[in-house]
Amino acid sequence: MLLGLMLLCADAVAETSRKFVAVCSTTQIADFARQVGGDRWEVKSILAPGADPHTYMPTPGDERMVMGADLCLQNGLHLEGNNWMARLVEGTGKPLVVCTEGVPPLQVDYAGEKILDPHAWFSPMNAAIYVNNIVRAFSEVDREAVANYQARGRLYLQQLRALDGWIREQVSQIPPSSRILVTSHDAFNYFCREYGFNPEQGYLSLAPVGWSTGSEVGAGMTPRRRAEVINSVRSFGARAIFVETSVNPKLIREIAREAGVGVGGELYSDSMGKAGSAGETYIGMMRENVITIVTALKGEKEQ
Amino acid sequence: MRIIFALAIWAIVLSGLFLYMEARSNRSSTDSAPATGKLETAGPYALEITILTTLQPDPFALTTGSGNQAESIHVRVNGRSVLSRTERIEAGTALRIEPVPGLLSGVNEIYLGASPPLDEHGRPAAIRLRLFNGLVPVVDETLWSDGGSKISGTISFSLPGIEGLRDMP
Repeated sequence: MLLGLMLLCADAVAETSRKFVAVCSTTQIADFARQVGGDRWEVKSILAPGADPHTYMPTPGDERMVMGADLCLQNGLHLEGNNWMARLVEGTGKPLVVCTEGVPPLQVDYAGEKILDPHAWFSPMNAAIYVNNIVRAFSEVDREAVANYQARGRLYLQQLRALDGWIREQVSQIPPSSRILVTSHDAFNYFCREYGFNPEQGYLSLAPVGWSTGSEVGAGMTPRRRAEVINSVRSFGARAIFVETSVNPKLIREIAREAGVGVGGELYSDSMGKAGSAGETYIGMMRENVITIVTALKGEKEQ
Repeated sequence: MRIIFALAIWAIVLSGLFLYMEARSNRSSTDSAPATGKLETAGPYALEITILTTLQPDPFALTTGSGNQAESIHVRVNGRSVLSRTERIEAGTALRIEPVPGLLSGVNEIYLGASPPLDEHGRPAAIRLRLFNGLVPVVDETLWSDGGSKISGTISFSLPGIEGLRDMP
């Protein structure tokens, strides 16, 4: 009888201490989920830091990860190339949340095609929508802790607001005529529009590779795009151009040489930094990107 | 006989544990109830809120869940919500709440949160709160923020009881 009682108690303790499992496609979404979920959720990211979501191909290990999930989260807007996250979840019965639901997407033209830019997180206001979607999703799975998720959500949303204010203050150090942001691929449209970069390009990214590093329509690099970027860099007098942590830097370095400008530094784009790096969280990633951009474009490059 | 005695002991222990947990649960729900020892105070109080900066719905608000929305301004008196707006409010607007629900004799607290436009960084933003008893301002405070960040603050003050009101001019 004592043994039975002990077994019952152990079972009850295990049940109350079991964490919910959230499996996220990207590192950014995983960070948002950790901020909201607290200790009630174990959050996993399929993509490792530095991995490219546009070209990623899932593995059997990813399938096992999804099978163990209570909830799956993806960016959507075709960030996950060939819908790899939706395909992983399909048929498993696991709920899949699209974190960009409700984001007013930027529509950009590529080679005559209208594409919705998936890199919405580069505007903290859009990141706030991601967070709201995650709060809602966690609350639907775990109704006991709704107030906790909302409380954490409120705190993190105010941190995002503080981040936005800080970015505006930092960017104001760059003369408007010098706010020309050239990167490896068109990941920074939302950032450019929010903070006033590239006015001559309609406040959109300037990059040799389109919105995706993969082969989707409007993505990739063409000789025409490459030439346009080089001409723009020269004619608008960009002080520096930037490589990205998740994209091969070879192309952008070649363009820098041809255009006669320096490389201003490395930016986190499709992925945050590895654990222990300054960019291992969303706020850290944005902070470091802004510091790199502002330092290079106001003319005081760090050695 | 021994077995029956052991089972009886177990039954007593488990019953005691159950009663203790029930009592603890009841006590915590009682503890979380708001203190209502003070009487709501009478008096022709009015709260005037003068918006000295443009306000807009907070784009970083929690909007998920019942009752949550992107507010431009929110005011609570002693924990009770007395004002919530979700529209843009132009600088210079004066909002008036009369009578003011929830005021107590003794110590009171007014919380205000408001959302200036994000692109007004570097420009201070302010909201003035005045609590009037008739025509006499009994509280007059201004809450500030650096432009762009939320205006947010709590004002604590005391109000007299009924006898004190009779003595006031």
